Amino acid sequence: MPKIRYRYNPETCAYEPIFSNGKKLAKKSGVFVGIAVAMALVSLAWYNRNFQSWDEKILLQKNAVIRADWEILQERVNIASARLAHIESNDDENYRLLLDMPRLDNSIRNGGSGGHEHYFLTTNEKKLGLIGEAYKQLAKINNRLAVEQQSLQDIEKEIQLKEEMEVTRPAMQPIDNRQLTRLNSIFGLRMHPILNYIRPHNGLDLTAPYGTPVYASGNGYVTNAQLRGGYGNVIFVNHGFGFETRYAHLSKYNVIEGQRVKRGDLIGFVGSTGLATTSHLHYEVLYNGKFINPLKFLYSDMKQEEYNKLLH
Amino acid sequence: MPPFRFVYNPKTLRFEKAGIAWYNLWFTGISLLVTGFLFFAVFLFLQNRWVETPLEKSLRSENAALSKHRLIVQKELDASNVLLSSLSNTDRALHKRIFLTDQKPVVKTEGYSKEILASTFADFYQWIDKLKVKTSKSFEKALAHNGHFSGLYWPGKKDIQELDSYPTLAPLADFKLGKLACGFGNHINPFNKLLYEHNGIDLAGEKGTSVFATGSGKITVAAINDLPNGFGNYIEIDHGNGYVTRYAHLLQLNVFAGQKVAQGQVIGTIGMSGGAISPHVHYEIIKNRRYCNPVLFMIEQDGVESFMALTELSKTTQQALD
Repeated sequence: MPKIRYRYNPETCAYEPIFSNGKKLAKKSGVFVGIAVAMALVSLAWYNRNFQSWDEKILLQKNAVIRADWEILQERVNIASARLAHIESNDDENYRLLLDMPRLDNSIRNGGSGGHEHYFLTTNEKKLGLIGEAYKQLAKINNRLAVEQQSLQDIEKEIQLKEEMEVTRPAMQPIDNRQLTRLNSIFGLRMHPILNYIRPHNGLDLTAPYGTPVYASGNGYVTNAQLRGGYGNVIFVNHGFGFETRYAHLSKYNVIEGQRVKRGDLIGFVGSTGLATTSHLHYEVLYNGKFINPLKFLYSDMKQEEYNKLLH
Repeated sequence: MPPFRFVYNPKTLRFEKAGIAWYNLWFTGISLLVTGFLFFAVFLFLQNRWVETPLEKSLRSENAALSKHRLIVQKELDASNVLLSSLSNTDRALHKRIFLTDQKPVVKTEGYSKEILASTFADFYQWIDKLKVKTSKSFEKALAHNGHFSGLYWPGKKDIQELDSYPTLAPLADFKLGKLACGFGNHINPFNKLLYEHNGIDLAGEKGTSVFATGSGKITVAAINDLPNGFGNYIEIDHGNGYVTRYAHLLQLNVFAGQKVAQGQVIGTIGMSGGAISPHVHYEIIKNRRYCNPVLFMIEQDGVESFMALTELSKTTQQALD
């Protein structure tokens, strides 16, 4: 039972109990709530002043995560750039050098994306240098990639040409070494064994038994395969790049005029047609219409000492 | 002054002045605090819900922009990477086609760095101590040797001239590892793809690059040959002491036979005369009529590492340029 409180009324000289009515209670609780609200407001102000709001905290965390992702992205962009730079340096330092092509200028590689404005970014996004920078770098890399792709294609074409030149070079002995019985290396003036006067000998005589296969010494096409006076049955092969080879005194052809031949293709058989004393192959190499010593193109088939012995 | 309050005391049958009700006060205070805290929490929640600070606004827009553009950039980067990989494959294929060997990955010389990094703190000090002992020992040794040799030998003018005559330079000025296109020994002939003995090294360079005499000596041959085989335009220098060097496939000759040249003098320019498939100089060193590996003579390099890398590179069997 709650204690009843009394108040002394000096007019009636009596103690009167104090009763609480609704009005008083409302006033009391209003004051109570008011104080509570004031306290809450004060502490809220204090909190706002000293701490970040929850949303800010959460957003900041998210921001940190996204920025870390961006850093990884940046790293990936750098790696791509480095890989590209490796290919570019290979291109410039090795391929273009070896293929005798002019170097690509740096302005070509890096040009075309200098002061590029990204119209699709809003002003807010432009303020973040990160995004614009990333797009700039990407544009740069894409530009370099396009240039490099074109450059590699050019190089490939050049290599194609070079490889063609390499395979068309008459760099092989037209008769297998195992079937060769004698190699007459006289190039120049000599006494002709049948005509009996001195006249130039413009080729190489490779003596081999009748019917020994003769191979094309490089890629090319047959311009002539017929009987021609002193040559006997002869095959002319045009290799392009100024080179022509002739295979004379054959007994049989394995090719017809206009046919394309590859290095090592069987084109005919050794015989002794034309001005020949025994069955042998007369092999000539012409460069720009001039006879040159075929021996200079056979050196890879023999050892250095043998080659030197033959030359001198 | 508030009126006094009284309480009826049934024991004494009197009205007595009521004291301060402490527990009441406590109760009121604590309930005030609790209510205040509840209000605070509600306000905080509402503020969080309805009020947006400028920082929040900027962060929200930044996050949205960053995550949106990250996806786009990533997509573009992936596309570029696909192209890059295809280019890289092409690059490897081209390398194979030109040199007929696979491209070598770049090897870095590491030394002890790995062990030092993996070691603990105590180990680290041991390492340092070991290194200190080692360096001091070798320093002493070097001093002793130096003293010994300086006592034995002091080069005169004539000796220095003789030293100059050894072909110790590289024939190209800005000589880098990449320029060594083909080393000494068995290599692939570009024209018929057969293995053959390559008696020198091939140093690639742009047409017109200067070629130096690697040692002082006398020009014995300065031949011009416009046929597409052999050495083409080439120079031979007799250095004395049985050393002869040759520089082949030149474009231009700046010297004539019989002329005396000093070490480092320009004798010609790089070209692709003779049987060459690309502009380079074919460099040979012959000692007492035997071919030597010129790489081993190029001791005037930046350092031991570059020399070792050079010798290592010259061992691969790849296509020669002539």
